[in-house]
Amino acid sequence: MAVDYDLLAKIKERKNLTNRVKETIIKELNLELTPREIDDDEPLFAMGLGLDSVDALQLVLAVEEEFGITISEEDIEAFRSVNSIADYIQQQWNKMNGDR
Amino acid sequence: MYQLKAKEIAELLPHRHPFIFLDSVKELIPGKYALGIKNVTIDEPFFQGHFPDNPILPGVVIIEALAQLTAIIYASIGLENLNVLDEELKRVIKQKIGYLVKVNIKFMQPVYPGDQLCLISEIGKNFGNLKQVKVKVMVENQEIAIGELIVSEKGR
Repeated sequence: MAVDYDLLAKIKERKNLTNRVKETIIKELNLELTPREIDDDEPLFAMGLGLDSVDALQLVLAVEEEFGITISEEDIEAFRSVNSIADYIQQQWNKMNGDR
Repeated sequence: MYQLKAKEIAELLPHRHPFIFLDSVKELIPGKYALGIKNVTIDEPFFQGHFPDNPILPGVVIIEALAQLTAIIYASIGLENLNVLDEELKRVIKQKIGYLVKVNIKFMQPVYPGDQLCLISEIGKNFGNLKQVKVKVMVENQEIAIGELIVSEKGR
């Protein structure tokens, strides 16, 4: 069976990105968790991790700094879960590369 | 760029003696930035207890001064002429003054009676009714405090 190295590389890249997002969340909000303990699709606010609106603002600022992107108020929807944040970051990066 | 005297500050803020920690605003860009002055005198009530034999300005007072300056920044949004404030406008402005939500400030030097605080506040990111604010305090050319506040606006 042929191994799709391209796909494997993409999966690894994605895993790195979600891990970085988790590390950013944990560090910025002083959570007593390890990246392993946060599920990629776990809701960050309310019933999930239980973050609040102040955490949201802090997280937005931290993600902007860590990943070199600008997040506007309308895009707060992207902060539902680790996966949706990672999607958003990837999108912004693609846009930035497209502009060049 | 606007300037405000104590009387005009009192028209914008609901705070009253002994809880106004802003003497004047030297530079104001409504909604964005302000530079304010607070003169520290031995006559302040809290020096009786903080501390009886060693008067030092409480850090929380510096934070409150920064919060009041920040309130001025967003209370003044949309004011064409700050010298003409009718009663209705004053009422609307006072309703906008919200709450201090988070404080992250590092203090570098103590402040003593006789010092003049130069307070600088700059609004950063806006999210819903929350605002990130970058703040700095100087006495002469010395950095006294630096950090970040998060404030909320009422009435949204």
